[in-house]
Amino acid sequence: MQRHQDDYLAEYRSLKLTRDSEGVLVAEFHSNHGPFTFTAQDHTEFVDAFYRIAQDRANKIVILTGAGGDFIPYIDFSSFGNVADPAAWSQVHDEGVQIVRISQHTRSDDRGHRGTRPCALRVCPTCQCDCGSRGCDLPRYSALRRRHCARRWNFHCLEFIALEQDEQRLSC
Amino acid sequence: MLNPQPLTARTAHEWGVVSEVVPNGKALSRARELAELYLKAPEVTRRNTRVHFIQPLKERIVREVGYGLSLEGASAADLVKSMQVKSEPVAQKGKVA
Repeated sequence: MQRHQDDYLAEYRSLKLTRDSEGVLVAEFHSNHGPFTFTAQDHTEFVDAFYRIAQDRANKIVILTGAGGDFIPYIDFSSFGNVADPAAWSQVHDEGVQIVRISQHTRSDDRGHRGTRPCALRVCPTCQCDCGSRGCDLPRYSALRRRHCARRWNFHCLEFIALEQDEQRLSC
Repeated sequence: MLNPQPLTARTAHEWGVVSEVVPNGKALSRARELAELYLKAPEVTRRNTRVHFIQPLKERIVREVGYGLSLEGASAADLVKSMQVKSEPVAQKGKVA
């Protein structure tokens, strides 16, 4: 599915997103354009905001800052409701977990870069390991066993494996 | 954390919490300078360099954030409880008696 990737830039109440022609995105925390007071609504919105920022390859560099010479100087605890209530805290927990995991879980779904990756690439760009060709005795993974050794293998290799499988399917 | 004190920029720098200290109000312009410098590297090189250096940090955060938030939630509940106890000292004594 293709969608306009920059439709999120004006989407968030407390995160001002400004991108210049070079692709430098300044993400500024603010409350009414002044120093930022962090609320429960922001906690929810930022999960989406940072997901969209990470997904958009037009963002070449991200500068994270805050308005009024501060970063995150205040927090509105009352906006989170009763934090002693497990139901209230469960949402905080889930959003916190999502915001750090989401960009990884969606990497293999982000097909925007597929066309720009050179098809001739045959060494995993993450583990950079070609030990399979040198008789390495470590366990190896995937349909392309020789390119991902257990020593340096990690989840970014999954993306590469998926990409390679796509290429084979497409007879690229 | 049990004796929270403001941390000066210089101390944060000595501890390795921040990589550079600039005069007040200059952080954003310095960040833009660095961005301009980084943009001179080819895009894939730039992206993969970042991936390489944040990888171990990201793995730790992904592993520990759920547990950390659970500890934070339980500590928040404990804090609320202790504030309730402090605000009702008479009722507490009454209950004990």
